[in-house]
Amino acid sequence: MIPNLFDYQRAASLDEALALVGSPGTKVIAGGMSLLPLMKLRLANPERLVDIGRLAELKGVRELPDGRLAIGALTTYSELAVSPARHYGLLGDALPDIGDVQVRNRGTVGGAVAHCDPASDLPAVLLALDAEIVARSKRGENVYAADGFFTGAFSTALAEDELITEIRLPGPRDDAGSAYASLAQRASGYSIVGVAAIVIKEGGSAITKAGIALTGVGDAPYRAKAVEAALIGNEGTPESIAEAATHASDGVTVNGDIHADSEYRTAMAVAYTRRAIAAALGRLG
Amino acid sequence: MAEHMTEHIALVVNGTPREGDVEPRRMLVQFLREDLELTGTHVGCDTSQCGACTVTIDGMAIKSCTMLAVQADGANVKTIEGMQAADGSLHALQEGFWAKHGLQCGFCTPGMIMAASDLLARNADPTDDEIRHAIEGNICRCTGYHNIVLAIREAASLVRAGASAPTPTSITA
Amino acid sequence: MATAVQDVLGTSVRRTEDPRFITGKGRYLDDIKLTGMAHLAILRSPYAHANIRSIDTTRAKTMPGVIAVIVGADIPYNPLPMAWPAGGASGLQNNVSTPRTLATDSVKWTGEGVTAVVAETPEQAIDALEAIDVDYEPLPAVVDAEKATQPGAVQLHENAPNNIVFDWTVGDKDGTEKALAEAEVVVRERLVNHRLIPNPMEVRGDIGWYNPGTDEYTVWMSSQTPHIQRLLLTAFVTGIPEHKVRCISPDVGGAFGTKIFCYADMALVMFASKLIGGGRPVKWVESRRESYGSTIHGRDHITYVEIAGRRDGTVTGVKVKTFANLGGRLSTIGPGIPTTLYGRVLSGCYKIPNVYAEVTGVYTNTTFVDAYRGAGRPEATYVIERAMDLFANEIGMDRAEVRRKNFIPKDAFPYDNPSGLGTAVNGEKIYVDSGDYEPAMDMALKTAGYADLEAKRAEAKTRGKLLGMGLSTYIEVCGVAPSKWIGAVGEGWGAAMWESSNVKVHLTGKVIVTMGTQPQGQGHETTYAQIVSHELGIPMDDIVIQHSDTQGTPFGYGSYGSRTSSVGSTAAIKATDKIKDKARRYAAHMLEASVDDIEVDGAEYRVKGSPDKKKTIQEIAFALDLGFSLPAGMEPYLDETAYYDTPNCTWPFGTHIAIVEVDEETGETDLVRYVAVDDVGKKINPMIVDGQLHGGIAQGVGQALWETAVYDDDGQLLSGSMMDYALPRASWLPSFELGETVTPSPVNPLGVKGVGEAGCIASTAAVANAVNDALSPLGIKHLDMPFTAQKVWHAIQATKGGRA
Repeated sequence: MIPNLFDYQRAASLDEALALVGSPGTKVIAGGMSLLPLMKLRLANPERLVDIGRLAELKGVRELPDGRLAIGALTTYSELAVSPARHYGLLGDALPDIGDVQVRNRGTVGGAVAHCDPASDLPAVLLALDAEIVARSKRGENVYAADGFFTGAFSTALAEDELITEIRLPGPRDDAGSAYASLAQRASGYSIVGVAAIVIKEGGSAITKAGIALTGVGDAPYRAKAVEAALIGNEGTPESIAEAATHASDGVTVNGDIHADSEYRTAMAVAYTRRAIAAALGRLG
Repeated sequence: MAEHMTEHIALVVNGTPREGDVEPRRMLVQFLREDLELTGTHVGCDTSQCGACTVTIDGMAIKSCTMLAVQADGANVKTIEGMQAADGSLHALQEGFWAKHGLQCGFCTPGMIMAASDLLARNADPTDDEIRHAIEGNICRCTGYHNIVLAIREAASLVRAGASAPTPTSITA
Repeated sequence: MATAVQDVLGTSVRRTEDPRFITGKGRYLDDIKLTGMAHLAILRSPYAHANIRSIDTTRAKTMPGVIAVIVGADIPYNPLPMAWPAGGASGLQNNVSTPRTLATDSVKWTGEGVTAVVAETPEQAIDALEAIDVDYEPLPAVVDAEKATQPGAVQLHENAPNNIVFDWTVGDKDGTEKALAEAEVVVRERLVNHRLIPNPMEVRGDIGWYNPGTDEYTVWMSSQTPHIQRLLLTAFVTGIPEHKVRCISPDVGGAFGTKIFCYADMALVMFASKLIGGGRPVKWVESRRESYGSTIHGRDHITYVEIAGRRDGTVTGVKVKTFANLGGRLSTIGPGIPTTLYGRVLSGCYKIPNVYAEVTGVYTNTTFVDAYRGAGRPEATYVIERAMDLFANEIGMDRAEVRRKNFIPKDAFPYDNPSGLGTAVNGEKIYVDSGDYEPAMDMALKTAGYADLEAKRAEAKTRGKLLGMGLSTYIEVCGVAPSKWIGAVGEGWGAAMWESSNVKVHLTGKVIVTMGTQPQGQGHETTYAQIVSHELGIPMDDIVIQHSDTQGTPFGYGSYGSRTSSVGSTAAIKATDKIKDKARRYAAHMLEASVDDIEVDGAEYRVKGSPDKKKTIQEIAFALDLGFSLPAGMEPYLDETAYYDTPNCTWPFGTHIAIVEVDEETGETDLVRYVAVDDVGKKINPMIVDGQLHGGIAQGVGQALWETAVYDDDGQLLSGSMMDYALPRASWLPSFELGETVTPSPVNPLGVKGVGEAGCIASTAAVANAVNDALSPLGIKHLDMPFTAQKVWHAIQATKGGRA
């Protein structure tokens, strides 16, 4: 199918992009993996596209002096998969199964975060890791915590005039184990349930910190705080993990569709949460 | 309705500089097929699922139905028509698909070959599982993938043997 | 001197068509660009059921680039033909409603064409669709075939009370009911064979070109049957004389049945081209989403099966009642699929004395249903193979042994099946040609490790997986069909089903063969060349196979129903027989010998006892085509045509075994191994035959595990794109383990049986039986396809006291 007519402007600099973002009828395009399919079906009909795809300042992955990892918003999934980010167990799990190779070669980290598909994998990973999302506007820079950023289906805390420039991940640590486990919707490849899990044992045998986030289950990717709470102080026995996982969709209105009704999705949220936590603990040794 | 501008683009396709004026909504696949008349790249769906439109940009497989032609301005694009060597000899993947009956109706084949070329550039000796994973973005309705896996494996071994394979002069060779 | 020509028959030579496909030089419908070509787009109904109050095209006509806007009332054509009226033998009533070129008064499914725009570019045509205002009166819809026949259901057509297209029966009702009444064991089950969207990778499209200078039409179409389409479009739809229309099918990017039929868009592009004038061609290509409402769907049966027998494993009767969903209007041969090609083969490969089937064809507010790969036979195989498992499980006997006990014995061929196709109608019936079913099953059982099933099950259980193994000992009728039978029984196209071939050996010794069949990826250009090379002793490289154009090929019925290798190939052999006969007579003339003394060895025509006195076929062709010296009464040129009507159908068979693992916690079901032992008779090109099996297996597995067309109660297609309709992908499938037995068919000189559909016919039932086997330890007796994770999970939960 063919999109409706629109005007196109390629931003030559970040400042030029920021001057255009937020005007009525304008959408930002980077890889276009989320936006173009909607436009082809005429479900999205912007009057103007601002192409930020060439902004070199938004590309690349670098380690910050404090050990954190800064991922430029235009970094593709494929680039991320060969960057130091792959050493985070949950990213190593998630990246090879996001979309397909063609999508990973074009789809960008910033695009996935800004689009906030309710079944997108990357937001769950960022939530679990307590990542930061850096945005810019003409007004200046704004740093969002991932927790709280994903506000609903295709909806984020990003202001109309803001562009995501960078994602920052906390530095890797030896006392953390992480994993990602998902059940895919066969046709689309999106997750029916995706669970990102990170567990930390700061000395001793008990879990002292946990980040558990789910996608596909509710309106938007979310932190499963009841699961996290149940894990703290927990030794990570199979029984205790299983118990913690039962809280996977506490307080969430669970989605239902032809591929997974809400009852099934609820059960899978529990099962995959348990699996992700167990795998994360397994990596902790 | 407001007047919408066309955009001028210049890119390299199969080693040859090409230019055109396109509506911004023109997808790369339409530019290749309709403006450049490179009809080997196909359209099999409208939701970026089937991969029949796969081409490479700087060796990376992409779906040309989900990329605006203007986004490819300045890019180095390769399509199935650019896979043969200048002397007409087949690329190892073309040879592999022919030798192992990796195609039937042929409609998915160009996209499948281009996706496989991305794999072989990254992995000279892929396992069957790696091959199957690498072509997940490409749907074939004819072969059940069985012979496509064999074809890509064959191509990989031809490449490892250090050559783009010789082309048989006869189908009975 | 001429070197000996390698005999390529039966060998896996590379395909001659591949060089163009692997280099991007195939030429599919949408690759064709003609001078002055305009583009057509179709506005389709968003409602499953509605009356059309009015259509306002005023705004659309003013849109940029728009040349014409067409509504149904503008078009003087007849509705599309319904060519297979499901047989008169059992007194059905056909209450026919077929699509018009564009809908006029009402729409019966989401996607029925309502208005068309012709514009300078495809973009402009699509843009203008949004400026058409159609005033609909929405009506309630019904999508379930069984519910549609019940009192109070929404009525689609005035001429079809209770939405019934036909009530068709086959077999011995009284005998079967008696067998059921007297049986030691009767097992009953309701089986749903869900709806599929075939999804060849190339969608359909057409280009119509009216040439005002000649008053002739040319129609390019992505079709399996260009000759039939010319016949149907002229004799039934447009009223344009047949000799004024030429149909061309370029390279076809897969079809699987969907491109057999006469579609409204074919007539529409013809009408549009003449309408806009100037000799401008008009092209229409469906989008993938559009195709889900504009190209046929497959399957969609609800069946009640009863299987009766003795506790020693003998099956004594099978009774079937099926509701077949045919959609909102009838496709070209829709009624033929659940009757002739389903009801008549329900007894499978078993010798069952009493079989009776009732099939009710039903209108619903859904896309029309017609032949999809296997066409009726996968549905029949699913019913009988599930029934055999249910029966075996009920009597506590091994599934393979129950099958073995009921196989048609190998000394019973040709087998006169007392039911189905063996039922004589006006003195005509069809026999099962040949078979030997046990060796194929034994080979499959051994390869799959059937004897170790329980050990495999126990091992999988330690991994949290429920392992299951499923058998499908299928049989397939193909190579359709003897014209005499069709004429007597009243089933099949309302015409014969012979095939045709023309062979010319030109002056230079090169051979051009034109065929009435039409490939869609099966490698006809290779296999026919192998046959002709074998027959004439001419190298394959010197032979070209042409097809796909009503101008320049003899009339043929096209390719579907796995008929090309048995019927089409035999036509080619008959043509080469005529060539050889004439060449032999001309050799006698050249060598001044009597015809009886000429012996043929490949390309050489020799005088018996005088080995030096010989001519090659190339030498003969040169002299005969030149025509300087002709014997009395002989015409010049080595050019012969043959029409071949098959005396019987062919019956491939085999045993497929699927091994699946079900994740007990999540319901996720994986196919872990697939073993197939097929007997398709002799093979012209084993590589191509195996490829057909691979593809068929994958499609059948796809139905069992993933693919499903889902409508909501309002008739909206929820699985309306590839985002929601799951086609098999490479990483979901294992490599297939193929084996073979070879029982030549006595029906044709090559001994071939046909293979295009076999994999698809067998594999769905094999996987269904495997999943049900995996679930059987939980007490589940039957679960319908597709075995999506959520469905399997719900079934498992139900056994644990949860809700289903």
